[in-house]
Amino acid sequence: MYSTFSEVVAIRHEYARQWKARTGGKVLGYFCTWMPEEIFHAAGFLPVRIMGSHEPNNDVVERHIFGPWCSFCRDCLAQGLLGRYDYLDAIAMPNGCYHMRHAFDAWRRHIPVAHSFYFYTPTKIHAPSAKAHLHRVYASLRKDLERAIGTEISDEALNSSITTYDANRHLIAQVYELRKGPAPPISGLEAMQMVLSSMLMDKQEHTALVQQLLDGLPNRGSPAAPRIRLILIGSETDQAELFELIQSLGADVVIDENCVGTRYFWSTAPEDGGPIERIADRYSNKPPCPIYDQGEDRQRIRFIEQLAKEWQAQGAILVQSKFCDMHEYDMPTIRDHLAGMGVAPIVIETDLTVPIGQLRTRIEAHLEMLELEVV
Amino acid sequence: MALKQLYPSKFVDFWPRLKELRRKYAIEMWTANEHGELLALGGAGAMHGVLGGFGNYHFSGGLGPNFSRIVDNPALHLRCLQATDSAGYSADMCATLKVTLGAMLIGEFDAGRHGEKMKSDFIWDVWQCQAQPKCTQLWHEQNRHLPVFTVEMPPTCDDRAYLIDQWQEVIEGISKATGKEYNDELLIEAVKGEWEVRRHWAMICELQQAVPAPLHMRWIQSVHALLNRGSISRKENIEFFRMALDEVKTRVKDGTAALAWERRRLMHEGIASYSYSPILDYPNRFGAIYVGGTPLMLTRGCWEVDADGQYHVGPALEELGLPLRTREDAFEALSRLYLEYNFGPRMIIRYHDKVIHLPRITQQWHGDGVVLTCSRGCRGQSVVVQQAAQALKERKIPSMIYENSAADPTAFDLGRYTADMDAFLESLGLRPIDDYVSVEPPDYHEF
Repeated sequence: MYSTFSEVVAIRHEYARQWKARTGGKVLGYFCTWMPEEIFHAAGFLPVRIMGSHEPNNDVVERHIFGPWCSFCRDCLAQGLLGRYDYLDAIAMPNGCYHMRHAFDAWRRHIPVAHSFYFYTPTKIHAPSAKAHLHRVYASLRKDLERAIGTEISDEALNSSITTYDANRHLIAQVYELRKGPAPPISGLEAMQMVLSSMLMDKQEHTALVQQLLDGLPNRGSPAAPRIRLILIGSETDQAELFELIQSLGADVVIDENCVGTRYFWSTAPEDGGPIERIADRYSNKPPCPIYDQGEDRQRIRFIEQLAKEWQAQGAILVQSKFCDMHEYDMPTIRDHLAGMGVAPIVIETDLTVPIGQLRTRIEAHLEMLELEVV
Repeated sequence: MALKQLYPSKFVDFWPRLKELRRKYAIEMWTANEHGELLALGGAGAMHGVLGGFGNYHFSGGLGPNFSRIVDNPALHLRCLQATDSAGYSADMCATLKVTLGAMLIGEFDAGRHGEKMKSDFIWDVWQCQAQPKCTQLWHEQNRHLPVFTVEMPPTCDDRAYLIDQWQEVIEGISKATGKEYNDELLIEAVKGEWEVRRHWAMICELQQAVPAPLHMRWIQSVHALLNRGSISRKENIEFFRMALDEVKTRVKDGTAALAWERRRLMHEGIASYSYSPILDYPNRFGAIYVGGTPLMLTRGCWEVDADGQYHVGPALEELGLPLRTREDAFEALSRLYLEYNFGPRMIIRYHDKVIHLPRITQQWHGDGVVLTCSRGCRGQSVVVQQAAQALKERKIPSMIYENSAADPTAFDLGRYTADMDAFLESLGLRPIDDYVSVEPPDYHEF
């Protein structure tokens, strides 16, 4: 059915339907990477990230969410309204941002689904009180889920799910490590699709695919080193055309800080504690997005700095999804910090569809400028 | 068209006292340092009861001590917005907080009229809407010498423990940072005072169900400003709310209207423009009056909803029989006030709630229509507008949506607003009244 990550991404809905038919299991759609998938996985669900399709959708979504709001949340809702996720047995929302919460609520109102779960993930996620509260929230979520499915979710099942998910994270992290070298063996596009496909398929099947990739790397031959090494910073930056454009200009994304990248798989569960606490602590400690980076110490900046240094990024592409105000708040600070580090940034704005012509002009100019400095 | 006045009408007698108190609190805020009282720099909605244990404290929040002055001065207002734009922040960030940030960038945030500078002791903010914590971060970067204390408002009573744990963290931190001791007896008094004030506020809003409405929504908004002060639980504040409530009860008993020509009643959802606040009076000229709205009435009140979906004023503290002997007791009571008897946070955190509350409130308050703002500068209020309009349509309640940005005058088109309102009011069977006269005094728009 598939042999590459890009194929999984392309046939995501068919994959989910066939998984259901094959396993008899249920599929749950979720809206944000703060989703404790392990808990739902232990309950027998296949959690899949609801993503947009980057096609015009005003005709279906405008009456639910106005145009000047986040295009990603509109796109996600549009997929539901168009019936593309008609195989979902449940949806879940871990608080997240107000745009996605609204897409979730609108989904519940207008698209039939058997179960929906909303739970509050404190945004002061790194504070001791918030960590303690997250334990309570997940414990309560477990009970709600047990009531919904009619069976108990055992500690063994939860621990097994943690192991499954962490194994996948470890392996993806290994692939990312290889991108530190001067000639990364996989492209930025392939890395993005590797992470994205992880959100869309059975974790063990995905782990097998990543292992297959790792095993096959020696046979790939020596790839050309990119002329410019870039860090890509954004939200759900899954637009393949953007990565292809960057590659066509001789550069490549060697590391990222976004929801279809490090923010999804970075950090694993601690070894000690009960399974609910381990899962909660994993999510408390994962790299934050702007919503969860609320303190004065700016954890995102520190994480971006670490990534840029370790992966030797020479430049940065900051992808601002239009009308995503949460990222807009952070952009000037991140941009200035990267510039101060000598990792020249460019901020590009994207919307539902990708304005390739405009982006080519801007990114090409930025790379030319970088080349003068680094090559 | 000349239209018969249906009701006797006059302005409110409590207005001079309201202005006096607001002026007094503003002066106290500016002189807090001289009196050794704490001054917090903060955002839009702080939990004042929690800090009541520090005694008299002042809050230059809402939107900063100069916000009114800034939005009243178009050139200064634009300078603040442009300063934020020039620093690289986007046009569609929270407009209200954008003005505040811009004021900080150009040194106008805490500057007095005569060059004096307000000196805050710490930053204190409560997060309901997601823009608030991001702005707290930015404010801190403009005021690095100030420690930051924040409380995240969770949505429901199930999260009470989290709220209380944060309070414990915050008061310990403020004590350490300021050297001020926290007094549990003062806290208990503050909780009692705030509970009473919030109930009185809710009772005033409840009386708006009367036909004719005793108050105009703009007058209620002015009273609402007293709820967002460190002084909320002070004796003079409590006395004011008792006085205001008595007056409103009398107006209802006598049938005294805010608008003599009241023929239609409207709800206003969202924040109307700070720069063009007279737009809330616009429907008056047609015989329509804004009687209230969910964010105005249900935030910072004390409400409960019965099994039939009817809204009632929440119970008095004494009726609940809660012990109030210790700090823990006080926090338990306060957490119930903020989470169980207050719907404001839920409507921002869970939009689903607004879609439920809005049609019910409209019907219970005998609303003939709802005017919703789609504010580009406020997602917390506006992202749900389309869903809310659909819910109203399902209940056959007429509504209209107008675009604005509460704190960005460049995003509001007055001509378009009035044209849309004319059409909407006409659809409700109304025409402009030739001999309309406002009952508000000449200095109503001055502070």
